[in-house]
Amino acid sequence: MIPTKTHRIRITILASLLLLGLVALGFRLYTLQVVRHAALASTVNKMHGRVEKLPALRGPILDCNENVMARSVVVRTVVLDPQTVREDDARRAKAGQPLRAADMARILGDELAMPVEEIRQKLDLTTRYVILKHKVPEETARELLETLKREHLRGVKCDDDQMRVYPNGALMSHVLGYMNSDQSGMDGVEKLMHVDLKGQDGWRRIECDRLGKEIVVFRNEDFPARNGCSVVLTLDQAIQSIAEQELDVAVQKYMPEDAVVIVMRPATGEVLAMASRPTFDPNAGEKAIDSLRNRAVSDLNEPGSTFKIVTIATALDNRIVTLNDTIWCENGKFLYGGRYLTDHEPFGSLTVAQVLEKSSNVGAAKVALMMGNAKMHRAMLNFGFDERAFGDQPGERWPGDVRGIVHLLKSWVPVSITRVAMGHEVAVTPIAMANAMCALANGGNLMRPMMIKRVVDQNGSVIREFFPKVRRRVVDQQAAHEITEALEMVVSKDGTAAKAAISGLRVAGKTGTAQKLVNGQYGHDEYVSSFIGYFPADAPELCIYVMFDNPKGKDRYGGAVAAPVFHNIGVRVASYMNLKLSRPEPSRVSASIIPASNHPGVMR
Amino acid sequence: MNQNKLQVFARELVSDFRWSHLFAIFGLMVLSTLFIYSATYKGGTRIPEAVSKQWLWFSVGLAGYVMVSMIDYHWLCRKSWLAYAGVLLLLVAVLSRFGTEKYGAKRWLDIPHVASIQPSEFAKLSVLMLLCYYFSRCMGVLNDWRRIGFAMALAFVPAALIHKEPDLGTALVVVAMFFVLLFLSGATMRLFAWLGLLAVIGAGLLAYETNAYKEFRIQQADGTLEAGAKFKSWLHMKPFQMNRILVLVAPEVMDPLGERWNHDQSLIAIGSGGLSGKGWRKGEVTHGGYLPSTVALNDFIFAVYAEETGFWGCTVLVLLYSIILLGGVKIAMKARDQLGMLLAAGVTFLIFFHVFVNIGMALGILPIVGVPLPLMSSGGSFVLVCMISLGLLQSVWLHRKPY
Repeated sequence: MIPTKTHRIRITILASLLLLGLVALGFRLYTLQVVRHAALASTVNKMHGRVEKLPALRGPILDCNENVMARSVVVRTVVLDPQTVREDDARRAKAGQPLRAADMARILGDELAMPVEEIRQKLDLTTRYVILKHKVPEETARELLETLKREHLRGVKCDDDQMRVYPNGALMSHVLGYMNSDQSGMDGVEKLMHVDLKGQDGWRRIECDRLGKEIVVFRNEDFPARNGCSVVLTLDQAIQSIAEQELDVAVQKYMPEDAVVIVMRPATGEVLAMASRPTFDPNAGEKAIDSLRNRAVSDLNEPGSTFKIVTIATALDNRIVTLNDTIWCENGKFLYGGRYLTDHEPFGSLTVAQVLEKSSNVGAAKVALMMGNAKMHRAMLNFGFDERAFGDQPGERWPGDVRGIVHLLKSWVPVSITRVAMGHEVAVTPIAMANAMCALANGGNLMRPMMIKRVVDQNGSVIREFFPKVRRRVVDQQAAHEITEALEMVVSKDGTAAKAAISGLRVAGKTGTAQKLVNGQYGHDEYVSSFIGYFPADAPELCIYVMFDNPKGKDRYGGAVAAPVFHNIGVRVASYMNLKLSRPEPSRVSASIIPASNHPGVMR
Repeated sequence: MNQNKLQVFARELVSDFRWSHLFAIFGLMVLSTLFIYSATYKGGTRIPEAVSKQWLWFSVGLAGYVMVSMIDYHWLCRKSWLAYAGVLLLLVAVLSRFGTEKYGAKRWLDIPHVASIQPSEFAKLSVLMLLCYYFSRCMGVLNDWRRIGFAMALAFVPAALIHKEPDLGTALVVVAMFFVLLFLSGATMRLFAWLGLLAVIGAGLLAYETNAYKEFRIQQADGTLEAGAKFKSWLHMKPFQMNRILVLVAPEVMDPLGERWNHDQSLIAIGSGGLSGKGWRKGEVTHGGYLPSTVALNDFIFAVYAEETGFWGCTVLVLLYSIILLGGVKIAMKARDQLGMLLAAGVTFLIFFHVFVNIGMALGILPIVGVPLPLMSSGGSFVLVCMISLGLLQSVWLHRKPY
């Protein structure tokens, strides 16, 4: 039968409905994909765009021989999502399977060595992010996750974290500094070089699926992490270790409040070892506040007699005296400006060299008086005692480094010069004092102390290198030479520091025994005993500073307390460094009377 | 002589063939391959099983398409009762213990090592052919209620069986096809006036019940109902069916992580595609598993497609369907006889209904029912049904003149 007109009309009606339907779909499509596009697209981003951090590993700190002093290792933070555990158990309950929360607590307790009761309590929390344990070794974390996977338990994940490890414990701790809980360097190298050490975290924009897992197909934007640089120090682990051992022996013996030892290389200003007591272990979580301070750079002391090197050297430099000029030492009691100045034993006439050798206060005061206030004051500024030893520039200013105190010239009273000459009425840090001695040792150049040699990036290329820097010339070569001659007499049999002598080496040095200001008065109970020396005197390789604050015992002079420590360190370090013996065994050196403290075979 | 006749037929065939249809079909096949691949893509270079399966069915379908288009549709429709009887048997078999249950519905017949077929898809085709044949035979006396009743039974018996699976979408296709064919074969408008009235009353009841159900849900959420209270539907709607309607009219009372999830994710996927889409295999909603992977490659393939190709891609898709649909209308107009007209219009409607309901569902203007997108969705039976239907259309076109 041939289709009629009615059929055609009905087909037309159907066709128009069909078209209408298609137009309706098109309209709806337009509404969704064009009009509402922005809103819906942002929903998508909120749903599953996520930026994942790729943490950079903090760079290591190395000593001058690239021994590791500090490094970072990857650890995990184990995090629990109690909500998931509950949901899973609810599902199991529905399916009539046994509940697994107790299993979960048991496994976590076993693997993390935590009390199961504590984990159970955490399983009851309603948040979705409960930290179970920090600093879990990667191995343990992986094992834990595998166990849980095997047991079909969900709800535990391990976040990336890192931990700072100081393999040598407390050794060099004050120089290295330590890390606080939010991974920033707190003092020492960790603080100063934080930016270089921490590197640059990378990131990766990832798309997550419904379960929060990454969709690898979509991994397109990747910015890899740049691990932190290594920082190479000028310090030498072996020398540091010798210095700290000897310091510890002495601290045991004299029970001082504080003690400091610094070993420097005079020619360059490189610090080879720096330690102070009390100390701390940077690995430990909690540290005694008092032990954190690096006394070598942060503590101001009146240096006492060691400061006489500044007085005499300046006078020699100004050609006001020569080493052989004689000074009348008033038999140990010198009235000046209405006050008496005394010596520890009465001296008559002393040459300038002997003033140092015997450490005569009166002699030093008289030399200073010959120079006058202005020259003395300028010399102190010249030696940088009112500056920070490491400098003020950002990037070189050492954490905790403080300025010394040098009073303004106009506030000096008449007796000031006689006091300053022997190291009172002035306060300096140990590092500044040691550095001043280095200047005399190296022929008159005041160096910038160096602790950091270079910074090396993760690929091994040196991105920054530090070189010895002369701050200024403080005395001329001749004066430096002369004062070395005088300082060698200090460690002679007749000097104040015979115990500092090292057989086979020409040692120059100066003792210091400063009375401590107790309740505003200088008393005779508490001293700061110190010794600074360098050797070999003709071409100094090492300068060692030893200081004890308030040592206990019968003989508390620098020559008795600090000089033997100098000796012990000097012997071992000289041996370690293979220093050439500069002259045959001199008969006057009485090294044999010093018991060389236990040498536990570390001498290389 | 005989050979000469064959040559003429072949030449006529080549020049007369509706190449535009074949072009559109190939276009859809390419898109289908690409986006089933995308929907199942998990990285790597291995071709997913769904894609190779689809290609297998495409090749079988193409063979069927060519074959059916060569054969005179009169002969096919005369024999269609055989297919109808076979389908009825299969539908009963599915409901019996032979059926395989997946996602809570018994729709599949598993032929071990060969394929798993969905008889309800074939029911669409066999009912269409048989009804066309029947209506074309009773033309002119169709206002006879008994004949209408018989035709109704022909459609409603398989529809009821399908509804029992349950597969409301397919059952609705069969029922809708009956009314469209009734309309096209020239039943009086008075009948349709009555049917219209019935439809309005039905819609009113549905609206009332939906509203009641909404109130029930709100009370349930407030906790003012005692535990375990169930909604009594005197339209015998199942809760999930009520939910699907409610998702459209009152999304605020639905659980966004439960009943509303697919609906919401589909809208987000399509909307975030924007004008030009995110690019092939770059759809975040699909690949993030937000759009469940069980539906992404069949019922919600349009969401995947729209997310990755955007408005322009969707326009292309709709154009491809328009080529087939408008071509179908033209074939119906030019058909040689009433059977050809009914068949062509019926097939066109069948395709249109699937396209409209599937895309409408993905776009959130129709409730979610399991209606696949012709030639795009993964699924063998329906691909075969579509290809045979389109072959019928081609056959009606090729045989419009008496040779």
